[in-house]
Amino acid sequence: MYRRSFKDTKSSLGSPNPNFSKPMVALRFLRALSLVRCSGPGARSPSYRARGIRRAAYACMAASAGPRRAWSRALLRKIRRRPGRGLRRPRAVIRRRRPVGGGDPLEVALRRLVPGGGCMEYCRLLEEAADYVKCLAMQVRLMQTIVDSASHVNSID
Amino acid sequence: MPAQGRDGQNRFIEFAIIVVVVVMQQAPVSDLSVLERQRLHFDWQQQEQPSRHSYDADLCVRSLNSFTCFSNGLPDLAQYSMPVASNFEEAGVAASNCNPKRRKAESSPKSKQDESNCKRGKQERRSESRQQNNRKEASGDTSSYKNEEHPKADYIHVRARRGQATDSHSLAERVRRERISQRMKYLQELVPGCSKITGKAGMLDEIINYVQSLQRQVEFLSMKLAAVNPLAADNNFSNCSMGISSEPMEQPFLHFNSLQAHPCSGLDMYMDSSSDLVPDGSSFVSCSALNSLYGVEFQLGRGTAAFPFQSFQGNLLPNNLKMEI
Repeated sequence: MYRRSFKDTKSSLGSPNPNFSKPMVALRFLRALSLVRCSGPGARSPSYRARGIRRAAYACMAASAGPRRAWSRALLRKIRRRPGRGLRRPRAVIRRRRPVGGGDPLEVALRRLVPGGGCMEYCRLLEEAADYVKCLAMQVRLMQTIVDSASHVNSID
Repeated sequence: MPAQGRDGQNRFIEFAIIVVVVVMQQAPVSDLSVLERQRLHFDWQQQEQPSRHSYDADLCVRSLNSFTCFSNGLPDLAQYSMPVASNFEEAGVAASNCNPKRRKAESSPKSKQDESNCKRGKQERRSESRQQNNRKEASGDTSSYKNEEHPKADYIHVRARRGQATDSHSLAERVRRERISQRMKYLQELVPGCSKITGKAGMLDEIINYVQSLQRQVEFLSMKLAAVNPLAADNNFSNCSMGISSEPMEQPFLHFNSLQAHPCSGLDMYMDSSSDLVPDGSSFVSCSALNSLYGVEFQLGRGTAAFPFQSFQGNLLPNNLKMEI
């Protein structure tokens, strides 16, 4: 189920849409949510589903951000590493171009937080962090509204 | 003392001075501060003052040597040149020219003679010109002498080489710093509550805290979502969403644009279209979620809070209920 959702999102990756298309993110996320729920509402524990939902959230965020962002690529790579274990392409990926010996503890912490932040220069790190913060904030708002609407509807019934 | 002997001695001494100075020019620069140099110089001069007449040549050589030595950072070489010196007045007067304190006491014609005598090598000329400048400018102010000597000496020996390198480096660094400051400003706008904080460290700290809090919120909300809707049978929802996505994206959004102006009418239109696709009641939850979502998203796009969402939701439900009935 997860694979299907990720493949769907992957197919639409070709669009160079910036992350200002909030409905796109919303759609993707809701679709992914439905797929997560379809997999087994009663069989799996809520924690398992929570993890799946979290992965879906990050995947949608990264997919809608576009392949132009370093953090989105790194995030998708990190998410898809688990399902596609045996099917890795024999592409030579240059991972660490410049392992930066960071002396500043704040900078090191920021590199750990932002996905793909290990190999970037400081300027690029700040840029990626800004974009990541924007997308994260939007994703959080999206999830908040979904939870609110769902709980509100449930409470009315 | 005979004048001829003195002249020969003068020339020999001056040649020796030149040689010694040239040798010491090639020596590396030490880390002696200017204050230390000056202190040593004056102490040495004060030591030599009582025996001025007999050791004038020594003074001349030594003062010049010490000057260049200290600029090069090798005070030991001053002793090396001692046996070279011999006694004569002009050398002593030249030595006294090197000494800033004695310059004031010197009469101008004498000093000029000595300058002409001493001016042979490039280094000597430089030192003399420096001394001239200092004499003209520094009237009893030794600190200005120090200040003038230090940059000039350093500039000639060391900074001349560094000067070319620092320009490109400093330019690149300046560019990089400007870029970083631009990005920090942008981040400041993004992160709420950062406009008060100045300084990179505080800003970075705030940003890190904000990112961590956002990630924690995502986790928390995903847990909440997993708990809230465990039983939704969402096959229809997936069809519904697919149907919506297969349509041109502008249409439902146009509806929602009108929805901002007239909530009810837009909603009716949307609900009609969706109800054709999905008669099932379970899709009600998802479609209402979608509606509220789009509405809120558009509102959020303008930067408004969730409050209008609440009112919107109030409008939404009675219509839905009507549709259901």
